[in-house]
Amino acid sequence: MSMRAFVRSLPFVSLGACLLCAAFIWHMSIMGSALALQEVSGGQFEFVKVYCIGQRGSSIKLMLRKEPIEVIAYGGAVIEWSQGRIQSDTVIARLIQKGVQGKGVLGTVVSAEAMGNVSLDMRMDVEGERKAHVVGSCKRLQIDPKESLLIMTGSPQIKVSGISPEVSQALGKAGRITMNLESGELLFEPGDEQLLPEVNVQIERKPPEKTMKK
Amino acid sequence: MRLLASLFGFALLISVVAVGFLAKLWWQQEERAQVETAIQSEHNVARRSSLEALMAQVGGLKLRGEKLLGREAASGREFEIGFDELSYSGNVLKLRKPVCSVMDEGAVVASFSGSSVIVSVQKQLLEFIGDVVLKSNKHNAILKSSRMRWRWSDGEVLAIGGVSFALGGMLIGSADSARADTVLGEVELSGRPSLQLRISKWLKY
Repeated sequence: MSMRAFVRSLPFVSLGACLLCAAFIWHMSIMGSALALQEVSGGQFEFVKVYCIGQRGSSIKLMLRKEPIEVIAYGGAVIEWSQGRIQSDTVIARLIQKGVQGKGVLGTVVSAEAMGNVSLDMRMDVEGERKAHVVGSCKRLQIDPKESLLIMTGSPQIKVSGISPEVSQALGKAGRITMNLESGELLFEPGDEQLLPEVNVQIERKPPEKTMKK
Repeated sequence: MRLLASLFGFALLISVVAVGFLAKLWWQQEERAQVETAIQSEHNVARRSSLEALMAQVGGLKLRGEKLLGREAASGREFEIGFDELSYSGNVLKLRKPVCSVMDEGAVVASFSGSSVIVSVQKQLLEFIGDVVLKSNKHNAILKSSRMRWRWSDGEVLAIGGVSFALGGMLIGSADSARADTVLGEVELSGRPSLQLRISKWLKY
């Protein structure tokens, strides 16, 4: 190859090298995200988001000197995880740090509480690969991870849809509503307010099947 | 022969004159350098003493070697600030590439670093500027921002602009600003605050 030809080919060679570098970077980024997804979907750990949607005076306070660590979110506070979200004026979560082999330090939620105007939106697995949609509101919501319970007090109301093909939706009111987060079981009690539980179930009425007469 | 001798003599004379002239030049240069050094050291002594007087005035800071030493009034923790360059005018000191280590019983519990820091002696305030990092060894946490103010009288930290927070491998956060204490025992994120927790189990433990 002559010198002139070599000089002429230089821009193409450098362009090729640039493309090769770009392809390598793209490949690495794809690999990185695939790894991250694998970790999340593997169920080894989960991400929980805490944020504020309030415009003024919203803040998240972290009390690291306390044991367990306290996370307090004020002002349109939202706590969001894979199953759903809770929104309220104030959210308090207590968590402990735990060293997990091969995964470094992870947090474990000891308790979570929402106060104020609480709204709940969850999707839960039910039989037959269905997902029940749970929407609720109350003045106070507590999560007890040890017992897998979600406890709603302060004029709690709950609406469940998608439980079965026959039941279109169920509406419930009580002084205290307890939900088992593993089985999805709901318990309606009078609670401190002595409100008598009230549950309305709406049955899906299917139109009668038409038979064609020959 | 006579001609050669006279030429040699002339050359010798020229050489002596040249050596004399060079010696005079060297002597003058040496003298000037000595005077300049004396002036410089007098100036430095004056600058240093006025600087020390300024720092001791309110803030109770001391300049020892290439480090500024002080004490956090509220907790009694000692701190030292290492730097690359120091300049000052009026009541304000400016340090380039500062690293401020806060110590409790001899162990470093927290450290600040940034591109530069402005020391307001009278306000007992350090204002770190540019990629500021506050690392707490006590709680294994890191607070980063573009500007950070630390008041060494009460240990209050105010981080402004592009705040990010990390606690070990389990929690990351972001906000527009944050308030904290020196060792990050308490951190308040405000202005679009958000946290992401990496938890081992949710609703079970």
